[in-house]
Amino acid sequence: MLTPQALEAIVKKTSTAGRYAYGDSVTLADVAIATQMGTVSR
Amino acid sequence: MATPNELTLYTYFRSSASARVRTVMELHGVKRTDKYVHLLKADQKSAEYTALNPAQTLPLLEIKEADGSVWHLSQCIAIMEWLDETYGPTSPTGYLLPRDARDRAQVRSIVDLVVGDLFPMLTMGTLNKVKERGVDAGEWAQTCSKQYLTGE
Repeated sequence: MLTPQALEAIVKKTSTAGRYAYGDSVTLADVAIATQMGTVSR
Repeated sequence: MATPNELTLYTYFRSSASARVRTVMELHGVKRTDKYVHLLKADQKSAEYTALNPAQTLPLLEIKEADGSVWHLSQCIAIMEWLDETYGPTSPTGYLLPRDARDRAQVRSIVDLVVGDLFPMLTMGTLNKVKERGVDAGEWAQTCSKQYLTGE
C-alpha cells in the first residue's frame, strides 16, 4: 500500500545517507515506514 | 528507572500497529509473552478483552512491575515511546528517538505522517467500508499513499 516510489520520496527528503528514514541510524521513523511497507504484500 | 518484571503483548498478525510495537521490542531485545486477539473473529470486542482495553483496539501492553502491580498501555506510539524510554538506555540498538530535540521532533513528524495521517486510511476497518461502497480498495490505498507521502 505504501508504494516504493512514495518510500523513496520520504527517505530522500529526510535521510542524509539514504539508508534510514531520518539521519544515519535506525529510529521510530524506520519502524513506522517499514511496517507500513509490510502491508504491500497483503 | 526500574525495568518491569514481565511484559505481555496483546497482538495479532494482521495488525500493523501491533507489528510496530513488536519491531521495537525486537530492536531493544525486550522479552515478552504474546497473547493473540483474533481481529477477524472480533475477539477484541469480547468482554474479557474490553475489561482490559475499553477502546477494543490492538496493541495492548500489559506491564507487571517488580512490586507485582500491573498496568496497561494502549496505542502504538505511546507504547513505542515508553519502550524506548525504558529500554533505550541499555539497548544495543540505542534510542530509537534521537536525544537532540530537533532530530526527535523530525522523527516524530515522520511517525505522525505514517501512523496518524496515512495508517487510518488503510486499516482493515476503513478498507472494508470502502469496499462496501463499491470502491476498489487497492486503488484507494495506492491513491492515499501517494497523496500523503509525495503530495501527488
